[in-house]
Formats: sequence, C-alpha cells, structure tokens
Amino acid sequence: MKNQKFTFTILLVMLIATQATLANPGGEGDADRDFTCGGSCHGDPGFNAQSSATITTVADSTAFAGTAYQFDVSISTSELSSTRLMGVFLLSSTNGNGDHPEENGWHIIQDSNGGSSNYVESVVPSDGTISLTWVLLAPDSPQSTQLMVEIHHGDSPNNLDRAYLGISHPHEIDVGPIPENLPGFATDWTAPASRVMGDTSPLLIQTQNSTSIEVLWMLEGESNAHSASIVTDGDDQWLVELPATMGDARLMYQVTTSNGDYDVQQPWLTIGTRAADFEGSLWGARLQSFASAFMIIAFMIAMQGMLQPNPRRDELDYTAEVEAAEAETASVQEPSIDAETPPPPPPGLKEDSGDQEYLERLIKYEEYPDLLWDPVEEEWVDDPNAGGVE
Amino acid sequence: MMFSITFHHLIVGLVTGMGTLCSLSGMLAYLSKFFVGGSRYRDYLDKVAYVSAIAVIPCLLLAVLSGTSASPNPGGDAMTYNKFLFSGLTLGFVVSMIIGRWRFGSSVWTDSKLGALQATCAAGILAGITVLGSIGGKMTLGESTMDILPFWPEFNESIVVGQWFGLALLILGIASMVISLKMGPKAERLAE
Repeated sequence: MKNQKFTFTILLVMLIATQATLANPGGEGDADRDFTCGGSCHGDPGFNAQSSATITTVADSTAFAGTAYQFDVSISTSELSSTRLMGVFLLSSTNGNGDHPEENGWHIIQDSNGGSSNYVESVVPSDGTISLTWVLLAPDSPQSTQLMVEIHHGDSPNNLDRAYLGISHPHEIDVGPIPENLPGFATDWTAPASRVMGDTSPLLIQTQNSTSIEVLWMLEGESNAHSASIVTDGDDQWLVELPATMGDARLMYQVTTSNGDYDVQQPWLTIGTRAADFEGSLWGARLQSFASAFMIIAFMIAMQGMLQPNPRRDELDYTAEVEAAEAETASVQEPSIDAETPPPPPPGLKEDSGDQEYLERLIKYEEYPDLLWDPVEEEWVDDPNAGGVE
Repeated sequence: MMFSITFHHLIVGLVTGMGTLCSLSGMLAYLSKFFVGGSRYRDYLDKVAYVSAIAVIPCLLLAVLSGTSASPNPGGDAMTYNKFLFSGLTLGFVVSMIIGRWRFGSSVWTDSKLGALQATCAAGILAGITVLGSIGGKMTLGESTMDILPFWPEFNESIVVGQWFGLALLILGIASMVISLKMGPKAERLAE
C-alpha cells in the first residue's frame, strides 16, 4: 500500500511539473506569410482580442509601374507582452490568404529588418512606438491597388492567453504607366540584408534602363552622406564600394539611377552586419558528437576503476584464516574436565626446576599416612609414594 | 519532411520523458541510502533507472536522425550543431551509467564512491536533456524556460573543431574507452 502511494505521488508530481504550453510566444521569425498564418492560430474568437494599437501608414498614393516605392508604417501601443515583441504583416488584401503583396504584382526589395519578407517581428522600444519601412517595386502594369498592415502581439499580464490583432486602413495606391526608358532597379534584384563583419567586397546592384548610377552612403543615425565609388560590371550591373562594418553597425545607402533622359532618386536602403558564417558541417557535428560521447564513457569507466572498492584488499585480508586458527588453538588448549593432568605448580616455583624442590618441602605426618603437608601453601596434598596422585 | 518533423516531436517526447525518469530514479537511488527506510525503494528505483537508461539509447539516436531529416541545414548553424554536441554528451552519460550498473550490480548505488559517480552520470543526463530541450525551444518557439537564468550560454555560438580533428577526437575517444576497459582495474560486482 505504501509503495502504491509512493508511486502515485511520484507520478502526480511529474504530471504537475509539466509546464503549460503556449503557441509561439517568442515569435516565429521573419518570413513570407499570408494573414492566414496569423489568423489560423489566433483567428478563433476564443483566442484573440482587438488590439488597441494605433497604426499609421505614410506613403505616396501614386507610383510608377515597376519602380521603387517606399511604404512607411508607425505603430503605437502600450499593450505588449513581457518580451515587447510585435509581429507585423504587409498585405495587399484582407482575404486571409493569397494576400502577400507579391500576389498582386509587388516585389519586396527590402523590409524593415533588412530582409525581403512581408512579415517581420520587432521589439517595440520602451516609448511604445515603432517605425517600419518596406521598399518595394510597384507592379509592372498600371492599376489601382492597395497595401495594408496587420499586427499581432501579446499583453502583460495576459490572464486569458489572448493574442491581440489589429489592422490598418487600406492605403490606396494608383500605379501609373512609367515614362518610356525610365531607369530603376532590376525587377529581380533584392537588396542584401547584411554583410559579413569586416567584408570589403563590393555590393552588386542591378538596374534597368540605366547608363550610370550614383550611390550615397552613411551610417545609420548619421546625417552626412558620402559618395561611393562605382565600377560597372556589364550592362545594368554595378559594383559599389562600401566601407566594411563591424559589430552591429548598419549602413544606409541611396541609389540614383540615370540614363541621360531621367535621374531617379531611389529610396534609402539598409545593409546590416553579421558575424562570420558558421563553419560547421553535418559530418563534423556527427564526428564531434560521437567523440564527446566516447570520451565521456572512457572517463567514467576510468573513474569507476579508480573508485571501486580495492579488489586486492580481499587478497591481502587474512582475518578469517587468523580467526579460524585462533579458534582451533583455543579449543586445543582448553583443559578437559576429565583429564588427569597434574595441578599447576604453586606460585614461586619454577616449572623447569622439577618436582624435587617441591617434594622436599612437604612434611609427612604419621597420623596421615596418605597425605603430606605443604607449609608454603598450607594445605594437605596426596603423598605420591603412598599411592596418591602426587 | 513533414513526417520527419512529426516523428521528431514524438521521439523527442519519449527521450525527454525516459531520460528524466532515468535521471531522477538514479539520483533518488543514490540518495535513498541517506534516509531511513530508503532501502525499501532502492530496488525499484535501481530497476527503473537501469531499464529507462537502456531505452533512452535507441530513442536518442532516432531523435538525432529524425532531427537531421527535419532540419533544413543540420549542423550548418550553431543551434543545430550544439544539439549534436549535447546529444553526444548525453549519450555518453547514459552509456556510462548503464556500464556502471552492469559492471558492479545493483549495490553500486550504496557504495559511497561509485554511487556518487553514478549519481553524477544521472545529473549529467538531466542537464544534457534540459539543454537539448532548451535549444529545441529556442529553435521552434523562440524562447526557452532556461531564459530566466542570467548566465545561460548563448546557443548562437558553438565550438567547431573541424571535420578531420573531429575524426581524430573520435578515434582517440574510442581508444581511450577500450584502454579503460581492457587495461584498467578489473571490475568486480559488489556484494548484494
């Protein structure tokens, strides 16, 4: 019964010790996502609530087809989780799926985190306001289209474990036809998000309808722009020399595309700095993993050998043999009750001096013919000559 | 790919459960000698630790294989590389605990020095599984329960020794294990 209680208690403690599961409180990372992604996990009315955030979009209401277009968003809220993480979607419809701007002809050159995704996650500063910028290429054909921003975030405390959703008003954009031969970025070019720390290799920029470009750069937070040196690398391909960056420095650059007829100033783009690329490989990881395992095993086996009770101690331990021998000796020396052994010699008489000295001191009395008197011990003893023992 | 991810989730749950059970049972088996009446439960705890440790080995290897299939770039980034390393360390502790139990018998827990060594292996298993789970949480959820510790190491960095040096370390590890087994002191089972 006690064992059952013990087992039950152990199982109960282990069950209680399991933690409650939340979906993805740490976010899922920047990626190309439909609103359905946010909606499927958070779409159930039992799991979400309306966000109190204020979403403001700042962008032109017109764009030229196939040219760069900057879309700025400002979000303010005081209701955030302890990580202050906010997920922001740039969408081209509210259908829930098929709403990535690429589906409507837009192409993302760069998102606010330096990548090229329509969904980004950012930590909101302590003032509760965050500003994000997407640089896109407008659709190739003239049309009237719209862009909007959807957000989701948590709250602290969030007793009901709700996800808070919010969406901006649609920003209407009239994409007009471009003048013939307008220079701009190539439709398949995407701005790189980052460079390796200390990398001085030139940045490749691909354009269209351009005969020359000019690039200005500055560190993020700086106000003075510097001109970069440029080398042509074939038609509409340019190698731009930007200074190497260290730490977490981010470089901003602005390209002006020209062809003699037009000079088009493109939006500012950003390039970050990342640590050197990881040098590990699958087989390297496997080998190192098994090497670690075998080394641990070898070390533990060696420790077991060192710490085990000394086996030689048993070989050298003769306690049992000695005790057996002592017991045997004791049994041999123990006097038998029936043995007719002479009494021990009296004190003061050495055994090796023989019986002569002892017998000489004994006195014989006529009255007792079978006995002798020992004056030292003051006792009567048998007379051996009269048939006594001694 | 989807099957690998699902299977990885399944097998990781088994590894975590059995590894934790094995580790806790092992540590309790060692601690039982310090409590009055602990000997009544030691036999159960010993058997649970022994059996669950044996069960962890194939599951851990399957978890590594399924994780390799499920990851788009296994070993190509610090997070997955660290998962390989800690899987190896955990496997080492599990096998060491099994070898200790196999060589010295169920009384290994009551020996003052060997029992402490077995408990150290059990603690190593628990630590390894905790770190593996924490890295997994970072990769899938973006956070882990270990984030509350201010001294928790960054999983975005790893110790990469290179493929050939890794091979040399593997050979050295196998040789060390063989030498320890063959040339070390002969183990004798402890009296029940």
